[in-house]
Order: sequence, then structure tokens, then C-alpha cells
Amino acid sequence: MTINDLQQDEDVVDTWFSSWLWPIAVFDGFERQDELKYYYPTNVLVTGWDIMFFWVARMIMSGYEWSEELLGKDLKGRMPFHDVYFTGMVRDSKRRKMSKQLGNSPDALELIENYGADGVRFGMLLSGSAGNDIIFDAPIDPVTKTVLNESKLCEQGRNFCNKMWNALRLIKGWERSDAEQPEVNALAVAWMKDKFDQTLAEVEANFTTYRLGDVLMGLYQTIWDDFCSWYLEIIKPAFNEDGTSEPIDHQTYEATINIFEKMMAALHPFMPFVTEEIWHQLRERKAGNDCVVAAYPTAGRVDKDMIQKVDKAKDLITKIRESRSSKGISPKESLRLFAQNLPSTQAMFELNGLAGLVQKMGNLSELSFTDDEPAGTVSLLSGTEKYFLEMNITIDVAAERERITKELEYYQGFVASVEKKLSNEKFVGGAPAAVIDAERKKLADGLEKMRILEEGLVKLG
Amino acid sequence: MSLSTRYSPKETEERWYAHWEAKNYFHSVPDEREPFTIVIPPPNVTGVLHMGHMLNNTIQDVLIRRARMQGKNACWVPGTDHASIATEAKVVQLLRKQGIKKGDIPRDEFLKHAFDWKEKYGGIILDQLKKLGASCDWQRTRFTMEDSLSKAVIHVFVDLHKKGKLYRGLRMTNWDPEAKTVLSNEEVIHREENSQLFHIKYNLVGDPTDGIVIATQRPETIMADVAIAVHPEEEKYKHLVGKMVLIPLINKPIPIIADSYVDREFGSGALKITPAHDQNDLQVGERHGLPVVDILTEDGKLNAEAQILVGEDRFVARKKIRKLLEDAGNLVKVEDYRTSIGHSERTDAVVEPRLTNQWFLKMGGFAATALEAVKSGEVKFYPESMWNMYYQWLQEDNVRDWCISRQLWWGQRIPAWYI
Repeated sequence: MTINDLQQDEDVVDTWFSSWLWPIAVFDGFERQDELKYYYPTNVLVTGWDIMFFWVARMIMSGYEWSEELLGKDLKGRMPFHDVYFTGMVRDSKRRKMSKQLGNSPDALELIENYGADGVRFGMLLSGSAGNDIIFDAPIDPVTKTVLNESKLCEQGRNFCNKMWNALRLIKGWERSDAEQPEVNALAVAWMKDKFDQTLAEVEANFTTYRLGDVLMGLYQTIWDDFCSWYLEIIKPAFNEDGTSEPIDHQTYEATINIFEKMMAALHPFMPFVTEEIWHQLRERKAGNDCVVAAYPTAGRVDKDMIQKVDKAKDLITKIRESRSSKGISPKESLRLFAQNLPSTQAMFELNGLAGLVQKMGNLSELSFTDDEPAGTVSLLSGTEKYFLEMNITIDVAAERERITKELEYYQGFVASVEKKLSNEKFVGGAPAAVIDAERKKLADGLEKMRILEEGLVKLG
Repeated sequence: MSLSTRYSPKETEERWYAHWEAKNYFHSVPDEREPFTIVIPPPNVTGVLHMGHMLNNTIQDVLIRRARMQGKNACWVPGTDHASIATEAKVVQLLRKQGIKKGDIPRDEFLKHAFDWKEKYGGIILDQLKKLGASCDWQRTRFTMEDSLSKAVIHVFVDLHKKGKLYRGLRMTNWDPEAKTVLSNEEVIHREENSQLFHIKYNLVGDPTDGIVIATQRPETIMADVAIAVHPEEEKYKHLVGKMVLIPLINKPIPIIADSYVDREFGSGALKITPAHDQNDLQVGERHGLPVVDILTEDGKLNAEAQILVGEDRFVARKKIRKLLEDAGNLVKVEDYRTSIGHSERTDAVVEPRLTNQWFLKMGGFAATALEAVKSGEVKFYPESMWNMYYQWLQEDNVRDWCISRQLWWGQRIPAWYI
């Protein structure tokens, strides 16, 4: 018999019989082990659950079968990967799997064309969480019944890019001065730094459990709300009468660039392009100082007491603005504000710069303490503290009564719902102590608010 | 310096991606740093970017970019999968347009066409991933059919053979008569469809007045029958067990046997046993030591074993045999019937159960190891709840040996030679 008498099997092996070797074979691990030794086991596999058996299970099988034979004592682990992140199926709003056959899937490249890669990445990541189905919001044209390459979530991502871009333009438009840093700005900087550190702590925690949508949402909220809507408004230099802007002090400017830069680094993995662009627009950089290789920011220690006081001040400012708009008073008109003289308000305004911050953002000509209710004011409630805002108008008693009554009704409902929760034995028995404490605190706050509002009603007569 | 009033993704995205690549930031070589490695789930080489890829690769890119920024040696290995059945179907289609039939050209020539096609169109998806911003180490791009990876496949095949974990056996497989290949269970799509149930009378040998009526969806396979089975406790048939009946039209005698597999409520309560064309019948046949008669060709036509309607397609044969049975007086009745019918995911052809010689990998030990890896926490699942599905699939009762051979050309050819 010769070799010519032998005939090779006509068949080929199943494709999975080749891809089950992927984590070893991509490093040529069956031929030489220098790279395998370094890179194996891989850290994480990201895949759909629909190929859990075909592929994930079989890679685990092949990993345990051969890695030890190949690596011997150099082995860091037999498993082909430490973690498996299962993505959900991408479905349309009717929960049908998106597919070419159904014609319900938008064109991926068209979406990138329309919203930018960053916008699309934002949209995808906020559409769902690990293992759960991703409901992608591309609408169907009611006439042609074909899917449109549109998405509200991707649009939100694109808007986010524009929001950050506008923040950049605002900051870069400021003149700088050597003037000393005002107390208000110093406080704003300290608050923003710590507030972002708080977010970074959540970012770290959420990354370890692959809650990437939560990480992105946390960054989005702190950049949009805390940084763009509050911080930049606080430090924004005043306008001159001729429409030009006053300069900003150098220290605040530098701190702002530093914070913005840190935010771009933290956001970079999610939205790599816009962050790299802003990173370079923020300051001149040496070759190689790119966002893509910048150090990922880590959370620092935060002054919780300071954050809490500034957050309370933000609530007060919001209430002042609401009061103005409900009474039809222009934000440009300076008003006086009196704080109820309490240990808590005293402590709050001891924080350097806080009174100035409230005055600037609330456009107040004066902020002082009072033991009684000054005439010609309306009262407002922030937290459980009472404030009195000067009104240069006579108070419409009926309207004010209606407003307080409405607010009172809201808190009555709120208190009732919390009481109901706390009387539910199942909840009280099953919830962690911290959650129950938080509910009890909510109840106490609600009752206190009701008491103050009722007092206000009595005063109106 | 003045900034444009609007952020322009089009302009920045292209520019920065080119910059990152020029700086070689995505390339990894082993060094003293801690590695952070991800291997991409290789998309089909024939594929284009779809929403699933976008989601999956965005997530991988987030993880790898963060690791890179944390100072780890981040390595994201990209690549494509040769996807044998999908790619081969596309190449066959392309050749057909050029007037070439796969069967008319030698294997080598077909593979050359396939590789040419891969060079031309393959990897489009990788370029599309760049548009998404994926920071893969493109210098490491791999392909499951390239030499080194093919060698690995051959190596493990031989290794498993030496370890006694591979075997070759005749198995009932899902056969696609159009693609002429075996399909995995997962490549079979089941659909509820209208069908018909034919009630056919088999006459008793030596007594044409007596006989037994069976119900079948597949009258064209009666020539492959080797027995009629009834339930052992069915009173009305007890007197018939052990007697012989004649297959209509070809008058071949077969025995009536008793087997508790028979569902007394279905049809007439009697079943034809056709081991070559039904998985359950094969088991009944094995229990009773019955022969196997295969009357179908690989492309779903009746062969010489059928004796009648030879060369006819299985569905044409079904229509014709109905007429023949009617004329012969063996067709008792035909009733409409709703049933689940398996179709090939690729060609949509009705899947034919077929006995073929296949290579199998014994899964027992493998499945136990894979279960333990996750159970012990060495491999962690996110979300954890995925364990339930994993367990369902891999537990002893559910896992079956892996049929690893495919009747295709595009793939690693099985390294086994026969005399």
C-alpha cells in the first residue's frame, strides 16, 4: 500500500471548532508561548448570550484542556477569560430582534454619519444594561414602513457633544486678570472638584460590575448639570455695560481648565473623539500629550459637609428663582433675602463664599439673618429652613394662600406614602437598615415642612 | 484662535483616529506592565456592521480604553471568522452568477475563489469598526482560516484523537439537501406549517381483507419501512403483533411489532417504522434489531432502493404516491394537520433526517469542566443570572456529543485518511 491509496476525508470541521481556540490561537499559542504567557488568561469577553453555548462554553472547555499543557508553570490561570459580559439582543420598540430580514434595523454607518460616532456610542450605552435586551429607539416611517436612521438617544449624545463644545467656547472667550481669586470662586472650585470626585467614586464602583450605562449617566449628569449649568454660571464673570465680559481671575481659570480636562479624561473611553478634541483645545500640549493615553482620573477625598452646604445653597437659589418667576419679578432686579436665624442657617453661611454665591446666583442686594418675619416679604422653604424674600410688590393674599395650600397638599401626599411604606411589614423586615433610616428621615422632613407651611397659612389669616 | 460655533464630528473623528493610529497607541507588545487583554468576538468575514456589533464593540472599546488610561498594557485583538457555511454559500452564489457550479470545479480551485473573494470583500467590517472608534491593535488582526490558526485546529484534532476523545460514527443528522451538508440543531429553524396526515392501509400477508392502518406525514418514505409498530397494551391490535404486512405498491413484507414508544392517541395508534428517515424510528429499529433502508439521495431524490418513483424529488414523489395509493385502494383518508417543520437557516430547504458518517467530540468531561469553571467563580458571568442558562445547556442530561464535521470545502479539512 502506498500513500496514493489513502484518501483524505472530504469534510471540514465546524467553524466553532476553530473559533473555540480563539483566545489561545490569536497569540499563536499552539506554536510558541512567549505571548500567550503574557496575555493569557484574557481579562474579559464581551459577547451576546445567544452564542453562550456555541462559543463561550466551548472556549472555556478548550482553555481548560490546553492552556496548562502549553504554559506549564508559567500559567496564570487555565480559564480563557476572567469575566464574561453578556450583552443583550438589540431590539426595536416592539421588542423584535433587529435584523436585516425584518428591515427594522437602522443602518449603523448612517447613524454614525448623522450623530457622530460619539453620539451613537452614547445612544447604544444608554439603551440597556448587561444581559438585558437593548431597546433601540430608531423609529419606523409610518408611510414607507421602513426603519429610519434616527434615534433620540443618539441625538441626546450629539447634544451632549455640543453642550461641552459650548462650555469650551465660553471658557476660551474669557479674558484673564491677575486679580485675587474671589471667595465665591474659591468655593465654587472646591465644590466642583469634590463633586466630581464623588462622581468618580461611583464611576469606579460601577466599572467593577460592568454597569457602563450607569457610569456614563453619572458623568453626563455631573458634566451637564453640575459643571455647565451651575459651576460655569457661578464663576462666569459679569458683563460690562458695553456687552464685553469682565476678566476672570487666573486661579479660577486654571482650576476650571484642570477640572474640564479631568472630566474629558474620565469621559474619554465612552466618547473618545469629542473628548480628545476638547482636550487639545483646552491648552497647548506637547507632542504625545493626548487624552487617549492620559491617566484615568481617580477619586480623591471629598469634604461632604461642604458639598452638602453648597447643594443646600443650590436648592435655595432655585427657590428664589421660582419665587421671582411666579411673582413676575425680573431676574435682573436685585432683592434682599432674610434667612431665619437658626443654628443650621448660621452654620451654613459660615462657609466661606457661600453667602456670596447665593447673592450672585440669586441676584440679591443683601443677605441677612432675621428672628421674625420682615414686612413686605414672601417666605420660601429650602430644606426645613425658612427664608424671606423681599418683594417690592404687594402680596396677593389669595394667590399666596393657594400656592401654600397646593404645596401643603403635595407634602400631605408625600408623608402619607412614606408612612404607608413604613407600615408595610414586608418592607421594614426586608430592607437594609440604611434604607429604613432614609425613609424615616424623609418622613420627619416631610412633617416638618407641613408644620412650616401650616404656620404660613395661619399667618396669612 | 477662534472655535467654530458648532462641534463637527465628521472633521474631528477622522483626524483623531488617524492621529491615534499614526502614534501607534493601540499596539501592544509584552512588557513589565500588567496586561489587559480582550479578544474580539470575530465577526463573520462576510459581514457588515450591524447594531449588535455596534453595541458589543462600543462596550469593548470603553473597557480597553479605560485600561489603557489606567496604565495597563491594553491589548484588544481584532479579527474575523471564516464562517464556513455562510461564506461558502456566498461564494457558491457568486460563482453561479459567473456560470460556474461548485460541483464542476476541483476543491483547490473553489478554495482559491473563496480566498480571492475574502481578500476583496472580507474585512470591510474591520474598517467600519474604525469609524466607531474601536481602538483595536490592528497589527494583530487575525483570521480563523489563516495558516497559524488552521494549524492549531489540525493540532487539536490530532491531539483529541490521541486522547481518545474523538470518534466517527453513523448518526442521524440534520441534512440540508440543497446545500448538501449536515446542519447543527441550531441551524435548523422550526416553523408551524400546514401539512397533511395520510392514513394508509397495509394488507396482511396472505389475507388481503385484513390489515392495519397507519398515519404518516411522509407517504413517499413507505418504501423505506421496516416494520409497523403498535402499543403493547392496545387491545385492538394485540392479535396482529408478530404477523407480517405488505408495504403498499412494492408488496414487500414487514413485521408488526409492539413498542411502548407508540403514542396510542396519535392517528390510528399504529406507526410505520422508517429508521433511515426518522430519529425516533431509528431507535425503535435498533431496539428490535431491524435493518435500515435508505431510499433518498443526498439531494433529496428517491434512489433505487425505493423501487418506484426513482429519481423523483421527495415532494414530487409525495404528490405522485398519493395518486398511486388511491388507485391501489390503500389510501384510507387524508386529513389536514398543523405541525412543526424544520428548515435550513441558510437555504430554507426542508431539513431531512439522514444517517451519515460524522466525526464527534465526546462532551462528557468537557461539559463538566466548563460547568465547574463558572460554578467555582474562576470565570465570572455578568449578569450572574446567565448561569442558569449555562447550566441548562451543559448539565449531563442535556449535553450531546459535538458533531464537528461539515460537508463543506471552506474550512479546515479533517486530517483523517482512509484506505
